Amino acid sequence: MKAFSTLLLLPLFVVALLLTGCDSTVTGEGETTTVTLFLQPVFDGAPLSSDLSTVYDLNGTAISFTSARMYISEIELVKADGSTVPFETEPITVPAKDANDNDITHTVTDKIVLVKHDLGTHKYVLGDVESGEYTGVRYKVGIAGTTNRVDASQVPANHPLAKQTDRNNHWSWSAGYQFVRVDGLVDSDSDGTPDEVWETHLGTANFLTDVESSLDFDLTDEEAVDVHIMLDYKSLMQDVDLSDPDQRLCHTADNLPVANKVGSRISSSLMLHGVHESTGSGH
Amino acid sequence: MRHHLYKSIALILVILFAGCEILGPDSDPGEENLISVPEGFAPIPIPTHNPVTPAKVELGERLFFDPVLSRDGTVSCASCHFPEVAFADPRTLSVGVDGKTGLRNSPTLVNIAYQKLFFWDGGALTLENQIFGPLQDPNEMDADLNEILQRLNDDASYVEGFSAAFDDVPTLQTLTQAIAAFERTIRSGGSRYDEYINGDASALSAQEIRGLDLFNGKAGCNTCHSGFLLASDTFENNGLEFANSDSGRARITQDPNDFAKFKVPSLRNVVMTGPFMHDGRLASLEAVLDHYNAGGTGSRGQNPVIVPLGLTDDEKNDIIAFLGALSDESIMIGLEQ
Ligand code: HEC
Ligand code: HEC
Repeated sequence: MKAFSTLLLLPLFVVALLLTGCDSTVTGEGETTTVTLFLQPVFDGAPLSSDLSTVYDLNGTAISFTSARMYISEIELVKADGSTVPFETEPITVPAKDANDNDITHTVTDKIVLVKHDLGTHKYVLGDVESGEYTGVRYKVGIAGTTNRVDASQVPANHPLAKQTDRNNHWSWSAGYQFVRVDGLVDSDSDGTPDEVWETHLGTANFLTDVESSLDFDLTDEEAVDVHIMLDYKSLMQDVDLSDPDQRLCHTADNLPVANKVGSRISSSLMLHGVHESTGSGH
Repeated sequence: MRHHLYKSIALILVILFAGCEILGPDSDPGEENLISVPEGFAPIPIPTHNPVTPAKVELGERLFFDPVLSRDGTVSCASCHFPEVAFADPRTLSVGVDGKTGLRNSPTLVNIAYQKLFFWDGGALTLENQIFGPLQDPNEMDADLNEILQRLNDDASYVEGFSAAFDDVPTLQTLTQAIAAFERTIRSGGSRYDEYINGDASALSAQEIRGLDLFNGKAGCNTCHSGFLLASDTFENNGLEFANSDSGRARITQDPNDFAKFKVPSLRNVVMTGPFMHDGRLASLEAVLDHYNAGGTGSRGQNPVIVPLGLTDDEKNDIIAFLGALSDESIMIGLEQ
């Protein structure tokens, strides 16, 4: 019986495959555009090196980076008519807690990006959008609402919300994900060599940041484009004085003054540079 | 050794039963037994994404007792949650790698599956995710997650265990599921207090019954310690002097109304789980009763129900005797039922 039904299903499967094949050739021809987020790390306008020993000057203090990470979510392109186009990915359904701490399951379809500049990765394929005229890009830095209350331990390993094994992207407690994680070494004895740890880990709803950039771009006849955004780490950290030991460690709630200094800079340290024909593959 | 013998027998029985099972893959013969509870207890809540199965529990138990999960291979979960004292720690502060200590006392893990939030401040949302707390805390196991996954993947017997339990290799998801599944099987076996509640009037002595009446009456302990766990799902400030800048629940919620509130702990097996309070500051139940009888210390945020009680020495002893009757006859763990 089983074998029989499998046999019956086989031709159907082949037909389905053929159909999906046709589908993508039709829509591929100029009607949709593959959009890649190209998030370029810079420090004071110059490229940030993925060589972790590179020393930078932050307002007269020598610093280096070991982590340069950021969560970007709810990315949308704004169309000329004012409507928005979100990006979605393979849904995951995971355990979470609601606002009253009751156990629920939560489905995430949003195309979330965990930017790992410390690993030198800059490009993230977002998905396909319809051709047409667009007027801007919107996204959030951070993870909003119930998605920030999922059980990270239960997210499949290849998803950006999964607990990362190389360094923390999630507090093991209810604060959820670390929206911005930058840390490294700072010169504590003014000899020009960074020698002491600094850490800025920003999270919680208070620091969820909406970013919106206006720019007219036309996606007619474009097969693939890069949405090129520059993240300037100097600009992000410019209000923090890392020569002051009290400003070196910030895990949000334990150092709100520093968290506020960095949080208020998020939006202005992200600059939409342009939407260009794609220069290479992301991941 | 006895311990292991029983375990092996139990395991063989489970395997035999599993072998006989003909109902299909969905019904797990072991599961019901692994999470059965005494009369009067609520059923153990099990998340649908992580059902309790014998293979998972066996694996989780091994992981719980294995120091391989700590940075230097010296500390296991059981180093701070001792099975012989209801999975609590007789030391004021538990000791992690390099002899380091944190700020809080290890709570019992018995009946942990009933908890809604974890840690004294409720900071961890699920039992699975809670595990990253001790694993990564530099004062506890200080593990590098990549490294411990590597160690488990390099150990053929672990690879086999994960495969049997999950049909998968060791990952953070399977690791945390296995330990949490084991933890959910750590539960009470019923106490003399339960027998009394269930109708056996002779189960408690006259002194213990006087203590029970005071607990629910003059002393008002049941305002916070109630239900079959003698706990509550809430966070309260019971009037301890503020210490170690530990603002408890407020650390998590950032709400000044939660200042120095801590989870109301279950009083089951309390004679075994000392020293008491979130930082183990009170060494004995006598000291606990003195604290409440004095009406707390009048600290910032003290709950107004904590007032001087006017208990006599005899009355304090009656309550302590009653607390002794909350010890479970046995504690059910893992596959040893
Ligand atoms: C170095 C000692 C230490 C080690 C090792 C340790 N714990 Fe704990 N555990 C504690 C302390 C202390 C607390 C209370 C911490 C707090 O509330 O902030 C705790 C709390 C818990 C809780 C929450 C209990 C409750 O009632 O909310 C659970 C569950 C738990 N531990 C499980 C584990 C597991 C599983 C492991 C192994 C992966 C482990 N622990 C390893 C010391 C330890
Ligand atoms: C206002 C609520 C409240 C009342 C009333 C109350 N408790 Fe508690 N109890 C708590 C909280 C909260 C804790 C944990 C406090 C901490 O660790 O800082 C606690 C802790 C304890 C502990 C320590 C348990 C452990 O594992 O460390 C014991 C024992 C205890 N209470 C017994 C009693 C008794 C006996 C009474 C009545 C005389 C009583 N409580 C009344 C809230 C209360």
